[in-house]
Amino acid sequence: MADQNTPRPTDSIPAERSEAPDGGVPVERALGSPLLVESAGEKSVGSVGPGAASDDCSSDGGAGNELAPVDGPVPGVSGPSAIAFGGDRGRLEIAQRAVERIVEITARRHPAVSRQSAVLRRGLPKARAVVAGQRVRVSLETAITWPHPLAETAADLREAITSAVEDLTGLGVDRADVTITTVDASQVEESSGEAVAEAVAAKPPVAGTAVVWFGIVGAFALILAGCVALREMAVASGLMDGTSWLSRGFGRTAELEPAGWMVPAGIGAAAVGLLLLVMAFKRRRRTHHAVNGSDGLVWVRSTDVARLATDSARHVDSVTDVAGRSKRKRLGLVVTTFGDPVRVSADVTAVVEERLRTITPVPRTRIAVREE
Amino acid sequence: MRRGVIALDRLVGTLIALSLLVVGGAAVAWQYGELPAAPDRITAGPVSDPTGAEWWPWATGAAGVIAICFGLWWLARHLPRRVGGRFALPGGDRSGKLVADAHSAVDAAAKALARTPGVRDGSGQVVADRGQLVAELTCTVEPTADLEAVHAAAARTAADLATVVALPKIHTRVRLRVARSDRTTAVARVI
Repeated sequence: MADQNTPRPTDSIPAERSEAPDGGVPVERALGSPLLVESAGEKSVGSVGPGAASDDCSSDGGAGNELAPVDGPVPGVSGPSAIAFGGDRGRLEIAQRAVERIVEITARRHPAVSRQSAVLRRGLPKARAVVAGQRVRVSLETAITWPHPLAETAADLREAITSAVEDLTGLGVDRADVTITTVDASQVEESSGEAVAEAVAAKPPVAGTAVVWFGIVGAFALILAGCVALREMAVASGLMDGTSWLSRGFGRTAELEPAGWMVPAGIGAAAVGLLLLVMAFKRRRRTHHAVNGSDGLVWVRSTDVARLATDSARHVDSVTDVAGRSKRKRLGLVVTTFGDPVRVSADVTAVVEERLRTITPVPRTRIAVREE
Repeated sequence: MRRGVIALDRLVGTLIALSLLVVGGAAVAWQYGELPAAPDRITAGPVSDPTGAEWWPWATGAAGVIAICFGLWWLARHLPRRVGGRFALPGGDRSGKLVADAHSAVDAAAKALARTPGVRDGSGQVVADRGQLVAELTCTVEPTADLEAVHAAAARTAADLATVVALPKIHTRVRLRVARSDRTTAVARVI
């Protein structure tokens, strides 16, 4: 954590404390400890301690910069930054960007981190740092490669960047947030085969509920009724010309007595009501077949089952064309052949059965053979 | 779509269905005189016209706004539910929070699965399905793909994903789609 023994500035140089333009607080620290220095927009690395800024630092923006502490106050210092006063020996400033670069370079060196180019997407890893006095808060967005565990990698990265910032700058890290925004599978590492966790299968895929149509139609009906009510309001208050639609209904007398039309209308209404009741409580239909159904992990649609069967049937001798159609648990194949229909039918049946052996439930297959 | 809105739809549907059943049955029974307590004629109205009353614009305006708002809310609840992919990882504390994007991890799992022979492409995302948080991998396989091999690879990938994400509540589902045509290298018939 932070260097607790950092000396306070001497009274002889308080005038050199400059407030950072965007809120950064000047900070003093002892010369002789590892530092990153930025002055007047140019970065330079003051490397005095172990693990000092490496070639990466210089190659990533600090190339050609001097590796010496700033001698005395520097005019036009950029901020926010941590400034070190060394008495007569000069002043050192740790810029926010320098801290960010330390975090990014440290993250890049982590074996699980994948570097993302900023050409077509956001460059990662990307760090942000807020320097306030001798304390700093950093946040890192990064991409990692598959299949590194997210939690362990993130914790490891947090520890690494915290140590790097503290070792290289002497600033104390109050908080280091790590966000893994991307998992990169372009450089897939071979899984060790020792997965700690076990996958839990989700519920089987099913079709949508029929009852949602009540809701959708009801919602549109409500919106329509609301529009009619607003129109009534506008007409009644004089905001709109016209006559009230509802006033036609008021003042009338409605009479109803048994009539012949009531029988078909009543039967129709009851039938519709029964249909709606069935729809309201109908179970959701399964839309997929399980592949190796023991674990319920892998599913395939009925349409795709038909494609599998069709492709297999196409490879049977004497078959010139196959058309397949699947509907729920039934599969129909129309096979066109110039061979013996009986033999072709038997061959196609055998091939399709073998192909769909791992599918559960097995669709009822009907094969029609057409002679060319 | 959330479960609550499905329950609301079911309630509304049931009420409408029962109303139609009762009204239809009553109409038929009334016609055949099977309702002894029913009058011979039902008369309704006339009702005095309230459209000129001072409260009418306020009442219709308020009712209209409420109906439109509720209707829009009801409609919006039917939209597919989006799951925020970002979730907090264990280990986050005052020293810093650890966050990861689960969508990206699931998509990476699908891409890794797509490297299996016979699997052409893969994508993945996290969805909410019937009260479960589901990592759903969708892969396109060749028509000639070995389903057992694909299943074994999918099981391995799912186990890897469970280890990578390490969320106890997450479930996994792999959907396979079979391509219309085979893009694997065709065997030459003539040598």
